[in-house]
Order: sequence, then C-alpha cells, then structure tokens
Amino acid sequence: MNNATEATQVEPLVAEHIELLRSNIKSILIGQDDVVDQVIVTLLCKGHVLLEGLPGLGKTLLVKALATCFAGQFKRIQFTPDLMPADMTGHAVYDMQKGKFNIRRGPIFTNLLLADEINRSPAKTQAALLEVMQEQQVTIEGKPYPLNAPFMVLATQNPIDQEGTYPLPEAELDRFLLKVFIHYPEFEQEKQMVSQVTKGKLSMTTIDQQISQQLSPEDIMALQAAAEANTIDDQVLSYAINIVHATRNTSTILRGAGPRASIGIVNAAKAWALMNNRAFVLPDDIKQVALPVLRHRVLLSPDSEIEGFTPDQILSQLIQSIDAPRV
Amino acid sequence: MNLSELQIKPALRGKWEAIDVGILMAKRWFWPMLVAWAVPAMTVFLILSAIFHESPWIAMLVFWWLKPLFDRLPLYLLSRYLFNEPVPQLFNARVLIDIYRFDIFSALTWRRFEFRRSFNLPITVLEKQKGEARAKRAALMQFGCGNAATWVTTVFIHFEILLCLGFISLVALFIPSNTDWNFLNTIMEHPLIFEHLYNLIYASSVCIIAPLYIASGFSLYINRRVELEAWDLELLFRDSMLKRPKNNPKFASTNNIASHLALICCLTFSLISSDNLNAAQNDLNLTFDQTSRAAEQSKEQMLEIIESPPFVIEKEVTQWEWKSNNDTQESDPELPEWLENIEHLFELSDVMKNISVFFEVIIWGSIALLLFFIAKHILHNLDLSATTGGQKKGAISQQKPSVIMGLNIETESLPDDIADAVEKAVAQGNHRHALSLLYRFSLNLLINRYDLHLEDWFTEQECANAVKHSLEEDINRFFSALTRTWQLQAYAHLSPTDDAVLALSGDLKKVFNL
Repeated sequence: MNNATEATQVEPLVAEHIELLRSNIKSILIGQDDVVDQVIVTLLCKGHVLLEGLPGLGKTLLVKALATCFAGQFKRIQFTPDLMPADMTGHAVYDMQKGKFNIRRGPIFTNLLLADEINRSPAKTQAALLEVMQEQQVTIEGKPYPLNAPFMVLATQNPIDQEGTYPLPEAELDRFLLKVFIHYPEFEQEKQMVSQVTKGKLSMTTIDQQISQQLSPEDIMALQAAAEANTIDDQVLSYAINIVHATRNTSTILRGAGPRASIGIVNAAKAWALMNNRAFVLPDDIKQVALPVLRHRVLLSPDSEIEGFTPDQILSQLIQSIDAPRV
Repeated sequence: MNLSELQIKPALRGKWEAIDVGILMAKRWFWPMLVAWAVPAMTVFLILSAIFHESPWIAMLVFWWLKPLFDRLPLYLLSRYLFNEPVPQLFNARVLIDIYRFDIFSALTWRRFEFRRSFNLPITVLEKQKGEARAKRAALMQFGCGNAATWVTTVFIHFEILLCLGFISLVALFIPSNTDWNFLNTIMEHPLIFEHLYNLIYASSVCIIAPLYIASGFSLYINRRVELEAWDLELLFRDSMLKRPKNNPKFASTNNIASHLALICCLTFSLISSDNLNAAQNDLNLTFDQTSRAAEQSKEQMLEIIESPPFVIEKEVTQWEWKSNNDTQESDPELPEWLENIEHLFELSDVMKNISVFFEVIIWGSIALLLFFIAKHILHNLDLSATTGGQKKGAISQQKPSVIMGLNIETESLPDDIADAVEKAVAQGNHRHALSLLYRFSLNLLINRYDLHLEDWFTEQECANAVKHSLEEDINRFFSALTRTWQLQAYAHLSPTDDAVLALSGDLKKVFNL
C-alpha cells in the first residue's frame, strides 16, 4: 500500500502550469483537444508519441506549439527512403587545420523532435532512434552524448498511403508510450480554425504571439516529477497489470503487450490524474489511457484480422471483461 | 445447311472450348443478335410496364417468363450467319410467327425452368422437333455435355445479376456529393419509380447478356453435332473429292478405252469356258463336300472376328441413364395396363430431369449456406468466450448485477437499518466500512428501485455518469458526493471526518425517502 494520507489535489503551481500548457496549445491547434491532452500526458511521462493521421491535420503545428510553450528547441526530420542514421544523429568531421575530428551534431539534439512520416525510411534508419528514445543519448564514434531534457519524439505516419513504406519494427513501436489517432475536426471547430487562419491570426510564424506565457524546460521537468510522484493504490496497480496480462491470454490477440506496456499504462495514468488535478490514480485513469498505450503493442490473430476487427475494438472488449478493482 | 460454308473450323472441341467459341461467335455477330433480342423484348417490356404500371413486379415477372421466346430470333439469325446463308426478310410476319409460335406452350410451361435451355433451343427452333421426338433428340445431344450446358445457364444468370447491380452501383457512384437530397427524398416518396427503374436496368442487363448466352449454348450444340455426325470427316472427304482431277479430258479418254478393253476380255473368256462346261460339272460334284466344310470354317472364323474388337465396343457408363422404351418393351412385352400408364409419365423425362437439376442446385446451395452459418455461429461463440474468459461481460446484460466491481450489493448482504449500521461503524472509527455500506446501499437502491442500468464492470465514475444521465438532480448530487468521498477513501486512503460520513448517511435517507 502506498502512502495513506497524502494530499488529494496537486500543488496550485503545478495545476496552473498544466492548465497554461493545455490552453495555449488548444488555442493554436483547434479541434484536437483529445490529441493535445494525450501529447501532454506523453510529455509528462517523459515518453514519446506516435501520431497517426492524414496529412494536413496539424501535426507539425502541434509540435511547434508545444515547443514554443516551454521555450524549447524544435526540429523536424522528414523521413525519406535515402535518409541515413548519421543524417539524424550527427557525425565526426575531420578538421584539416586543427588535424582532429570534430563532432557535428545532427538534428536529433533538440527538445522536441518531429519525425515526419517515420515509416518512409528503412529499418536501419528507424533503428537509429532506438537508443535516443530509450536512453536519451546518442553515440557518435563510440562516445555517448546525452540529450538535453526534456526530450520527446513525436513521430507521424500516414494510415492510408502504404506504398513504399517500411512498417515500424516491434521494438521501435514499443518505445512509443502512446499511439494517438488524429481525426478531422468537427464542423464548428474547423470553421473557427479556417476563420482564424484566413484572417492571419493563426500561422506558424505567429505562434509566439499566441502563447500567453511561456514555461521553462525546468518547469516541464517539475511537472514530470509531479506526475511521477502521484500515488497509486495497490489494487489499481493490479488492475493495470491485469489488463496487460489479459492481452496475452486471449485467442483474439496473437501477441500481447509486454511489461513496458504495464509501465506505460501506470505512468500515463499518473500523468492523466495530474492533468485532472488529482494526486492519486483512479481505475478510470487506467481505463482512459489503456487504449492509446496498448493499441500499437498488440498483434491481432489472423482470425480477428479476417473478421475485420481493429485493435481498439478488441482491446475495448477486453478491458470491459476485467473487473475494476474494489477495496 | 451447307457444311461447306460453315464459318468456323469444324474440329471436335472440348465442351469448355466450345463455349469459348460461342463467345467469339457472339462477339462477331453481337449487334444483329442484340437488336434481334432487344427490339421484341423491350417492346414487350414497355407494353407490360404500361399495363402493370401500378404493379411493376408483375411486368417484370411476365417479361422474365417470356425470355425463352425472345431467345429464338437471335438463335435463328446466328444459325444463318454461321452457315453463311442469306437472312430472310425478318419483317415477314409469317417467318416471325413461325419462329415464335412453334412449340410455344411447352416452352413457357414445363420447359420454362429448363437449365439447359440455350443448348436445347436449336432442337426446337432449327430442327423443329417437339414432344417425344424432341426429348429423345435432346437426350442424345446432351450426353457428355449436359453439365456444361447447365453451367452456361447458371453462370449467365449470375452475370445478369452482376451487371444489373454493377450498373446500379455505377449510377450511385456518379451521384454528385452536393446533390440536393431533398429532391431525392421527394422521389423516395414514390417507390414505384424506383421499381420501374430497376426493371429497366434489369431488362437492359438481360439484353446485353442474352446474345452471349444464346451463342454459348448454340456453340455447344454445334460441337455435339460435329461429334455425332463427323462433320469434320465429311468436309475432309468433300475437300478430297473436290481435289480429284475428274474434269481433265486426257484422263477421261484413257478411262473410256480401259473400260472397253475390259469388257471385250470378259466376253472372250466366257465363250472359251463354255466348251469345257460339261467336264467341269463332273469335277464340281466331287469337290462339293470339301467346299461346304471350308465354308463352315470360314463362317465360324467370321463370327469370331465379328464378336471381338473393334466390331464389339464395350463402354463403361458412370452416370444414370434412362432405359429406352424399346428395351423395356422387349424385356417386358406384357405389362399390365396400370404400369403402362405410369410408363407414359416417363415420357416427360425431360421435364423431370430439369426439375431434378433445379432442386439439386437448390438443395446443395441450402446445405452450403446452412454449413456456413453454423460455422460462423460456432466461430463467433468461440471467439467471444475466448475474449471474455467464458463470460459475456462485453455484452449488455439484461439481468441486474448482484456484484459491481467486486462490491456485493445484494439486499441480503446489507443491514436493515443502514443509518444505525453507519453510525456504529463511525463510532468504531471504521470509516471505510461506513462508506462501503453507504455506497453499496445506494447502488442497491439505484438498481432495484430506479431500474438504473449498471454493468458489473463499471467503475465508480462510470456509475456516477450513469446516474447523472438517468436520474433526478438531487440523487445525482448526492451520489456524486458519495462517489467522490468513496474514491478518496478507497484510492487516496484519505478518510473523511465523522460528520461528513454522518451527513452523507442523512442525505441518503432524505434523497431516497427512507
């Protein structure tokens, strides 16, 4: 059992920062509130997010807005079939005047990295991200170079255009905390967005003016620490593990989620509780984050595929079959 | 019918190859055949649609029923084209009436459901056979290629349906996205228009498919005729005859001289032999016995040869065949009268064959469908039980749950006086127990008194949301407060004050009128 009598609400400053972050991004990325929340959850968990959606739904805008919110660095890599790992990580260049090698750091040395259309590059290039995402460091010429915190990869992939793509390997997929679907905005929200863009009030170049107040990278790290400090009851923890275990014991799923999924669910639930101004985790928080954490970590059985089920449908059914915890 | 003018090579082909040739024939003479089918058919269709304007399905049924008649004229044309014969004036009423009227009754009654229609049609239209003669002829022709003829009909029926559906889909796809749907709604109020439109699309589809269907069956028929009557050999002999140089005058005079010489030799030989006739008569009597014995031996040898291959051909038949009437009469010459009557019924063997094939297809189709649905049902159940661990928790249950999220909410498990039990628990400092009693009691009331639909896998927040959407405001307010307090106790381990618990107990009484 965890600490029994901790405060149930988060510190006012933490709540204020979270609200600031949320409102700032939502004022720029209109009509994607759920996506914004899930991306902030990922940031609070020190995780990485895989965004799946059609082009033109504001993925780049989201990343840039997030980076602007905490005065962080933002870089974008367009993944292409001929992209090499060194193009991302950097490489050693020989300086003839000084007679020694200099390290030229690649675009990966940033706070927020947008890996656009990540599945356009072959597995070798994709694998170069593994070390960065897991250990937050880059090894060049045998020497590790740590990245500045906070660091987060936001990778995108197009769900329709599959010609000439390389599906992400399972090890790579497992590194992403959440897989988030970006859908078209609702009518009213799209109307509002179009109105703002055509009036010149909303554009990539004026994002700075849209942000009311910037956080510092240290503030973000404080939020991450606050999320980590949230308490979780033992039975709620068991509930999260039960869900992950259930994915391994059903005939509708060929390969279930691994322990990294259990860690991901608990971390994400803690962050989600923090975003809801709570210092403890409810079973509802687990349910809320289970789908985006698990959907890219399970492989459906051929029968389920043939029947036309999606991972979300199977997982929703599975989550309903597990008793919520009771004291 | 002039075989020399046959427009296809009269080779013996396989049945599927023959159908391919039929398709090629249809492609070559498609437009005349299409017009020959469409003009009478669409005329009838329009007349029927006008007559049965209020009941388009009747118009469609009658049109469909008359299809075998519409097939006749294109077939007649195709046969003329195939043998390169001049096409008579089709607007000659006598010719048309002759084509359509011949054996019309049986064609539209018991032979309407004939599955080998396109194959048997030439027997009626071109050979002008009907009744028993037609049945015998059809039985002879169908041997070995009857199944292919059945498949031709089956496949082309599907083509008709696919073409019809495809055309409807095409129209649907071309409806612009900015169509005024109110206009369509107005049309929807008059479904007769749609029925007539559908009829028109179906009739058009049949028009397009009909020439291919007729030509396929006719090609199979021609192939069988080539096999039975050895047209290929006949044409070969004819070619050989044509190549013989019989008209050459040099060879003709030589033949005449040779025949005259032969005649003179024969006459001379007969005169010489008459001088020795008497002497020969004596010798003849002596050798008669020897000659008769030799003849006996020769006869035996000939019989032996005749009874062995290739004069006797044994064949193995692996399918049921009707015994011919002649055989039956020979084996049973004195049948009772009632049996003879039954035997007459078998003259309708053609009809019975078609009906049996029709029902066979239906039965096998039904069995296949049944097996498919049984397998699907079993797989679905297996899948569901595997997913939910044998309990259909995902499905919305109609029964009221007795346990929600592990909390027992049965009436028997709760105290009769809830306020007293809560007070006792608070006095003992057991706030968790007190809140648990209040929460379980509330759930029990919500389910049993207010028929609130709750699933056993609902979390507290989901229960609170269900109350929010279904019940009155004061109950919602109370239950939200209780849920919040319970969540703090259960998951944050933060106990409320004694007063807060007792206030909730008082609110419970007030809200639920206990």
